[in-house]
Amino acid sequence: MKVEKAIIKNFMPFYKEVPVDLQTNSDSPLILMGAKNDRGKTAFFTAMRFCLYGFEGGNTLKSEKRRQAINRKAAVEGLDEASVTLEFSHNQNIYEIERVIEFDQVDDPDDRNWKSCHVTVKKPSVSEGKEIVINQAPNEDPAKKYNRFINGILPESASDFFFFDGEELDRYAGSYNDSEADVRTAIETVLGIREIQNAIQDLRDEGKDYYQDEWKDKAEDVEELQDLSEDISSVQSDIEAKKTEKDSAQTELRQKEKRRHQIGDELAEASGVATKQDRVNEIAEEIGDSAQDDSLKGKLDEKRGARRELHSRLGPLMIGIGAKHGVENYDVSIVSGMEDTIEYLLDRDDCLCGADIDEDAEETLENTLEKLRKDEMSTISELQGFASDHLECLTSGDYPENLNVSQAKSEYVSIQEDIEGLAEDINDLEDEKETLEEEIEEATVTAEEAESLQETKETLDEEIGGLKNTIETLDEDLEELEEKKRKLEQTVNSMEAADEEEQRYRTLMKLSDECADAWEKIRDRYVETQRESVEKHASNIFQELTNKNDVYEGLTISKDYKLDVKTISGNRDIEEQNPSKGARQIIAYSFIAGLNKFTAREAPVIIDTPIGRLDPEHKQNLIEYFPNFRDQVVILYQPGELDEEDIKQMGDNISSHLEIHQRENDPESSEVSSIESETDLKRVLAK
Amino acid sequence: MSTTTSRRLKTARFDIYRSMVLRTARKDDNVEITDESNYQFDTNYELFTAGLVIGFLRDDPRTESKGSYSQDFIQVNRVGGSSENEYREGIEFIYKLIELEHSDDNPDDSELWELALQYADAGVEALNQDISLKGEFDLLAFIDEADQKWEDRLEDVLISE
Repeated sequence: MKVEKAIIKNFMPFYKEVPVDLQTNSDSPLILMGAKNDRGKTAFFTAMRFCLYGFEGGNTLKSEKRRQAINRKAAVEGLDEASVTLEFSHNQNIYEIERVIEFDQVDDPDDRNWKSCHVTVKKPSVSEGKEIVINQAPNEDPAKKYNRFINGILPESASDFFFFDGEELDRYAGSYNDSEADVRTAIETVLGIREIQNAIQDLRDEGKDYYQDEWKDKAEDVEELQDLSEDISSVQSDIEAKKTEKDSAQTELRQKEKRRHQIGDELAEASGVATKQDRVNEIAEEIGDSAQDDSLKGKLDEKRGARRELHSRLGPLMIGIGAKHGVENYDVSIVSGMEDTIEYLLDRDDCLCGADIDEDAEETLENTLEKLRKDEMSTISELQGFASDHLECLTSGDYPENLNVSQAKSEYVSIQEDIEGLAEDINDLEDEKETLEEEIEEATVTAEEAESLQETKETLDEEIGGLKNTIETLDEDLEELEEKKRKLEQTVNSMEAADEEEQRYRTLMKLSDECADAWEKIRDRYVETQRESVEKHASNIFQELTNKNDVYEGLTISKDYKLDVKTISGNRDIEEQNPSKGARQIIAYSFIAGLNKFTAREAPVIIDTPIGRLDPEHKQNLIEYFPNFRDQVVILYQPGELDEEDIKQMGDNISSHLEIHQRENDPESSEVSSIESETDLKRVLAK
Repeated sequence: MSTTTSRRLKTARFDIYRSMVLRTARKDDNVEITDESNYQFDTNYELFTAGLVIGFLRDDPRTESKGSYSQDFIQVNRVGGSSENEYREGIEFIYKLIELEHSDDNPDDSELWELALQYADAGVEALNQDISLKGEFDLLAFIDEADQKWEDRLEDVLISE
């Protein structure tokens, strides 16, 4: 850190904004700032520390210090805030830290009080202007950003070796007393040992412990993974058991369905048999027997009876034909009338036709008359009588079917057709019946068996229903188990790396531990090296600064950073050697210079009251050494500490020479200005 | 003129009657009737009448029947019961024709009746033979035969004299 500029505003004696240019160059590292007592030299020193770290102490002390830091006049005028701003470069970055104390206007300056305070860190924006990178109220957790930020530049614990009061330096050259742990910590921080120690601690606490925690977590994960694997195995076993159960149920279901199908076929066959039997019975009823008039056989018999009657009447019918022929062609009455006619003609001379009846004709007539008068004629007449009687019997006798021949023939044809039709029907039906009966005979299922089969089928239906329900339930169980397994496997998959992670954390934990061990060795070695380097450099500087080179041979630094004085008669601790205040101050300067030579920090050295009680020889030696302290050394002196010769001696090593003085016409306020003239110089140097 | 009382229906082919007449078959203990339709006639006189007319029309009497009649059926005047009927009248009509046909020979009644019996047996045989040949009773064929033969047969009997 190299400070470029400080702006002090309404802070302590500095009223309104007081800018202080603190730029130096490598050839001129010194900035001298002279001031008479009570003009603001210590206030400036305090302002620098305040800006970087705030006030030290508990809340009450801090609060009081903030209140006192508010410029009285600004409080009365209600200028709202007191602040210190430092612009500095660090690691090639430019930062601006501004720490502000806000306050309300008061009538009585002694009533001033702070309202709030905060610190901000800005840096140049990539566009233009500045951007706030940190904005933190002081009461916030100190582990917050700002603390990390400032600790990365110059930790407060190390700042005592950069911002110090020369008159109080002897505390580093004596016993550290109660604060020795703090001093040691400060020294280690300055030397960068603290970082190593912190790294070791981090490796122990943050690293190893972190990895150990992670390892434990992963170990728990591994344990959980094992439990999950066992759960999956258990679920898988359940699934297999359920599948086996389902397979058995399905096999049983298939068997029962097959059996039911067979029974269905058998019942269908039985149903067919019943239907056939019904048809057989129907046919039998339809065919019937002769006693049943409505049956085919009854009708057939009836027709056959009718036919037999016609058969029986064959003779009369055939005779009837002859009788009819005889009646129609041979008229007996004509024959009988002929006798009368012949007798009539025999009494006449001529015939009815007019012809003459001669003797021959008369003889013929007489012969015919004689023949007619014989018995034969009566026989013919008798024949005709039988013929007529017969014909009458044929058509009007006692027989219900008395018919003439023509009617009988038609009737016979009709009857014959009926008989043939009926016989054919009966034959067809009997054939059908016979076929059905054969099929029934061949059928394997009886009615009793069909009934038994029906009962078996109903039982099977119930069992099949039950099995289907069982399978459905098993399917649901399987689905649930598969889902459970899937979720477990998902969990396991997500934890699959747990074992690997556990191994990795175990390795990291071990590595972290080994790393910490290694860093401890490095630290021990580094501490020793640094201690030796600091000791050597501090001894050299001590020999440059001391005025008793004949007695003092140098300084030794113990592992606890306690200083011993190496004298010609041996090494002695400070208390035993009991040097003068001035000598102690020189020893401290030497030590601080040694530390600054090997510090891991880059920061300006600001020395308040640098000369103090030093004698002229020590003073001269120190003034010669100041430019070698750091790249930027701000020396806040008071009149009497330096004279014109001293200023001249520092010569080109001075970048700027400033004066803190009373603000014009304002005895309670101070301001800073550059010493431009001999007059100014004389004034500031004047005792 | 002979009386009808002496004329009795009889046959020398009772075997045929037994196979064609239902009542006759029923009286025979040796015959088991399985189907009544196999019997074309109910009574003997019915078959006799049919045989008589067939035999007369064919004018081919079965002369060998003479002296070998095994069975008397019934007297002509009792055929068909007490009242006149077509069988009795039919038999008388044929008989008269036989009488007329043979009047020149002055045969007695028994000779004429013998001829009638022979006509009847001849007709019954013809009927039986026809059934055997055809496998059925062809009533219409016999009626057709009657239609064809009666005119000539009557002329033979009545005009030729």
